[in-house]
Amino acid sequence: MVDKTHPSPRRFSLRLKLLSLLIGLVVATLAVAGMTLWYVYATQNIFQHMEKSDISALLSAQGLEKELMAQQGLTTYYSLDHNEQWLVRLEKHNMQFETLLSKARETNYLDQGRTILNSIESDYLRYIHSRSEVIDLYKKNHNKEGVELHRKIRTRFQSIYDLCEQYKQLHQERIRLAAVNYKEHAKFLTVLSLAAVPLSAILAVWIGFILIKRILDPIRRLSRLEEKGAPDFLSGEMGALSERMQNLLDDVENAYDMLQHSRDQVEQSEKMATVGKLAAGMAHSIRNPLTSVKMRLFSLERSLDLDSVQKEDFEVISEEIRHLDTIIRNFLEFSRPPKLRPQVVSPSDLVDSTLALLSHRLESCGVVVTVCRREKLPIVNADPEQFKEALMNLILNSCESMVDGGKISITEDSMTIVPYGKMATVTVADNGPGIPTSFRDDVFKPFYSTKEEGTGLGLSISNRIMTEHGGWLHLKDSGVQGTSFVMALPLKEASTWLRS
Amino acid sequence: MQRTEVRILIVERNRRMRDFLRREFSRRNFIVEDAANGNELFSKLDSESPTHLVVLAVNTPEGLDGGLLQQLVTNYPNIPVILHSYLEELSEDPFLQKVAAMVEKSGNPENLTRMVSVVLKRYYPDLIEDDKPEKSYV
Repeated sequence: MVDKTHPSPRRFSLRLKLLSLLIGLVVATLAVAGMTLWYVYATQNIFQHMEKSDISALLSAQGLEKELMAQQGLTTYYSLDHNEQWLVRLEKHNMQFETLLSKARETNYLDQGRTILNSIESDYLRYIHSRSEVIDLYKKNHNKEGVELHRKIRTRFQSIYDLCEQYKQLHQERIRLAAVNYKEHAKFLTVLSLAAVPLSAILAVWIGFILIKRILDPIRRLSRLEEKGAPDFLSGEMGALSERMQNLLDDVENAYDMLQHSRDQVEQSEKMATVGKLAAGMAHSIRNPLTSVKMRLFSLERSLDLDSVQKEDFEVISEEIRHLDTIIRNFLEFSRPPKLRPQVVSPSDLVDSTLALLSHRLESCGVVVTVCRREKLPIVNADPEQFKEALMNLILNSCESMVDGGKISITEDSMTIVPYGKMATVTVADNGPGIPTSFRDDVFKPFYSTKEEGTGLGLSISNRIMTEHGGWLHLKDSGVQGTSFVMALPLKEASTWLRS
Repeated sequence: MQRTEVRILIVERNRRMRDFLRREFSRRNFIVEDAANGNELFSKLDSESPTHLVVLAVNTPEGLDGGLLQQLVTNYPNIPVILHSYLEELSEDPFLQKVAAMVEKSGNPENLTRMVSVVLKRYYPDLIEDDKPEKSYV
């Protein structure tokens, strides 16, 4: 089969292309997936940190402000009615303030925040001390001094409140920075996604294109048997697959032809066997009385004294009976072929011995035979007698066709014939008048003869003999320049299925 | 012993051929019996008159495949058998090796008569005198 695949060294193979694209697609997908995971993780960290530190600090600062204001208000209420309940509530708010301050310290992670908290704590301690003095004055009903001192601690209160506000703003700023950071991450991820998604899409489309154009389309065409040969553009794996497929199809086609041929032969054989069996019985029945006739003629010939005309009549009768006998004998041989007795032999030896047997006949017909032989043919498995009979039939046919003599050339050769393998061939060619075109298809049919006295079985018997040897007999050419037949026999090394 | 004492049994299905052979051998002073099938053959062989030679054509109903030859050479091993047959009729019957001779059926009966003389001389050397050349009618 002609190799139609043209692998180009400059082009990447299909396998390499697909692998590269798949790796690219996987890398792009994994990169996007990895970055997304990282982004989710980072975002989570930002929010956790914000929640744990900044928002908590913000809430603490707001709580401190609220507690501080409550304490200032309760102190004022106490100054108005000296109700001890306000002092109890004041103490609760005082504890709440300390708790919130302690919590703020725990969640604080900034140096500046620690400084502010230290300032709040020290100012608050001073504020509590001054406030206690104010309450003591109120308790002692020194309201005038109490109001005076109460007014003074308002400045301290305002200072703590401002520090709380400062602390709150500090963490608000941190939250704003975290938001900026988050936005930057989101922007990076968006850019990455914008780059990765089209890349993945391009890679996927590319893979799809290659899959369709280079794999699915050729497979579809192969499956539909659209191509008679391998598509020209295929290379690499698909090219090899296509070539294998074509080889397989060729093998199947050859096997089918051989099977069909064998089936035809079997059908023909079965028909011939049936017809032959009936006809052979008939021929046999005819032969016995014919022999009886021959014997009586022999007896008559011994005793009669015939004149020349009677003698001629007698000879014609005898000759016609002999002819009938020959027809019957050939027919019986054809219908009940003798069993093959194969031997290891060179066809060249069989050609020589056949020509030796026919030497007188050839001489009397005025036929000159030349043998074209480069070297002796290799050995075959063949029944020597039957092969000689097949060859003899061909030579005698040629002799009979060349009424005024002529030339026969026998060419020996050996060659490999697909799918049969190594074969030995013997070509018998004459320079006779040739077989008429209308008769050429029928030359191997039994009882088909163009000769006046032919039995029409010679070529059929030769053809059967060659077929039984696992070879064939073929009418190669016939025309005004002569006729040539080819006899083919499998060489011994190739002859694995000699039929018997 | 004279030829008139030599008894030949011809086994042939075709009556006209049988008659012709009978006539040919009678003319050569043989005592000729004939049989058309196996029954007649064994009936004649078992009769009191001894048979010296059997000319057997295998176109009888029993033929070779029917075991006629086997029965003949097994039960009457001392009687020589000449097979008179077409070559195509002969199979690979192992009992063919036990026949005294084989003559192909043809239009010339002299092949058979000649072979009969040869076999008789071989089996009954003191029975048959040296043959004078057969009178040729040709």
